[in-house]
Amino acid sequence: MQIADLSTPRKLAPLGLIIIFLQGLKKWGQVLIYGLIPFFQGKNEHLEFWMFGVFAAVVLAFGAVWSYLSWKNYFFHIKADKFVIKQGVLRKEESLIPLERIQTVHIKRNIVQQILGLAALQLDTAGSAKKEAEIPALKYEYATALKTHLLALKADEYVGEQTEGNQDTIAKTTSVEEEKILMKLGFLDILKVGLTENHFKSSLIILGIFFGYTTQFSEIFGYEEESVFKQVFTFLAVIIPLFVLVFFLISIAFSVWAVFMLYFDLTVSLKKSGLSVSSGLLKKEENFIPVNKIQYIKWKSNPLRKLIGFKSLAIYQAASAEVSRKKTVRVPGCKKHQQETVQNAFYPEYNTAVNQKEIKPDNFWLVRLFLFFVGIPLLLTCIAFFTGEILVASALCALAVTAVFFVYKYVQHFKAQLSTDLLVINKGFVFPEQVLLKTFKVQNVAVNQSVFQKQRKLVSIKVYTASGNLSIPYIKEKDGFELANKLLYAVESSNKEWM
Amino acid sequence: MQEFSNAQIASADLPKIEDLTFTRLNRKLLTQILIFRIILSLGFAGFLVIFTLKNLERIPQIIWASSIGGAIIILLFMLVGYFGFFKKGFALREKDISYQRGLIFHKITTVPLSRIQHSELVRGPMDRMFGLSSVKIYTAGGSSSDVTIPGLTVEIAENIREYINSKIEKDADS
Repeated sequence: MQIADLSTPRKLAPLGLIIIFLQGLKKWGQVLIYGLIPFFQGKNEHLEFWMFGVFAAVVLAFGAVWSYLSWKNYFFHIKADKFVIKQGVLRKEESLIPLERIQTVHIKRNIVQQILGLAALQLDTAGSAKKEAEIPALKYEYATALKTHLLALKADEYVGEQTEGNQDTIAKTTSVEEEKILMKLGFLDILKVGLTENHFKSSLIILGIFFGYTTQFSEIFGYEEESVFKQVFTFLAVIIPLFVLVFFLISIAFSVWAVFMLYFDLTVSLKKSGLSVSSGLLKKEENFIPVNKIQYIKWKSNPLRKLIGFKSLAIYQAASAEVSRKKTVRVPGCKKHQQETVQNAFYPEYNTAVNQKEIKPDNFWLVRLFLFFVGIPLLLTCIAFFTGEILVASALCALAVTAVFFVYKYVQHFKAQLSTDLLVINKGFVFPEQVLLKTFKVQNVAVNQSVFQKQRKLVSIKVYTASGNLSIPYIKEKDGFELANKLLYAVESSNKEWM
Repeated sequence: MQEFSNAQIASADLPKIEDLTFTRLNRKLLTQILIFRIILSLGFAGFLVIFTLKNLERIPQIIWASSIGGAIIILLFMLVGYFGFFKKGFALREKDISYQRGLIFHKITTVPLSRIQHSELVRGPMDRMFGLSSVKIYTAGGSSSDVTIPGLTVEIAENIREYINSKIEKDADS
């Protein structure tokens, strides 16, 4: 589709009115719920139900008018290398986004947008915690065209700015480049991913939702909280075994459902300039991650995944800490050869790095962890034993014994390897992870040494990146300083762009 | 490709942060730290006295516990403040800046100048009383990795900032 002249202000798609109204509906809906409270509490006898009807009608009408005005007042255009968005009904807002500041452009579609043939366009700017600009409703074809157009304009800016840049940037500016589909997650694969999710996490989420709602409802409808919980818990005590089974099944179902929602039709394609990831059932998201923005990647696994040979990939992008969660792109269900493809494409240094000396934590770390994870349960065991709670005591003792095993294995599985270009950190026993960090992406390095570590000539290293920090705890002083010196040298001698 | 060399460097030849000589901070900072800690200790002591008097009738022994315990805590607090000062220091190299601190938990943070987002000169009310200044260095590594070097005379603080800024600008030009 042709991009019409963007020098004059353009409006949202007409159907976008519906999207804006629905987005606002969350707000109006909340007002309605709060309006409901006095009716249910029944404290005021003069209130009758028709009054609520009038109230709801007024709120909705106001919402409709407001949405129309927001839609009418929404304009965007390009003026002098800046993307301009004007909006606001009473409080007018004008955002200016310099084109060269636009890092990535995302297309987002929830189910309503998909039905209406619309899409939201999100402009992602460099690292700032400020909310990114989002154009809520454009025709889908127009959105995709605008996306390519913006990225092309940005690339032109780049060429104009640095005619003699290094090779990376030149490769980036070639707008047409070959795209290789790395993986497509089929139905069966998604099912596998869903079944091998970390179900503990799902059950925690379900518990959170469950208790969240019970408290919310009891607040709104004036139930006595305690009595609700009492009933729930006596009920639980009676059928706990059944409940556990059902709960476990629900957790699995929840994981599978969540995975389908997030990763349906997951497609990952590799380009020279970056990685393109799109997925989602109801809400389709397309992400493009430029190579420059990748700070580090992490391969994760769990016992179930190991069994079927799947690993998940998490890509950490540059962002301030406040928004970093959103900037992490996850790709579950990578097979061995796909892992190798990604590594060959983006981390060709991998094989050199894993042949380097293994830096492992000292056993003193084990002692410290034992003190905490084994010592405390043992202490509690003693207390329980002397107060006559034999059952509790034996349970705690068992916990301490298992902790010995897992802590030992955890420490044993930790290792770091450093080549001139790449830092590789392996850790975790039950949930193993491997971090790959290019050395020039490091922001700063800290060498920590407590008095206890000083006696034993040990240090803990912390490596700060633009997307969170990584620690390498309790290694030999000599290794630690060598690691820090090498990292600093790599950063200071590099003139590559880290973002 | 421009002139490019990638000679291997033996790790023994790399510049070493463990061999850095750190510049100690201005002595006035020690006075400042001690005054600050005395004020905090007085507040703590006041709280302890009120707490003790309130519970004195119920538990008479509390007077011993709180006076001895309070004295030990305050003494340790002051000692850590005093000796901790001598552990603080900064070191500037051609391409990075390091700051060390911590008596019990010692920490050296090194920030490559090319990774500094911006720097600030900070002067709190107490700093102004003592004629001191702090340099705050922001990096993209999140707020936990930002480095603040306190206890500098205004002149030195400005010099450090100037140096950092000149390096950052040079970086942007090239």
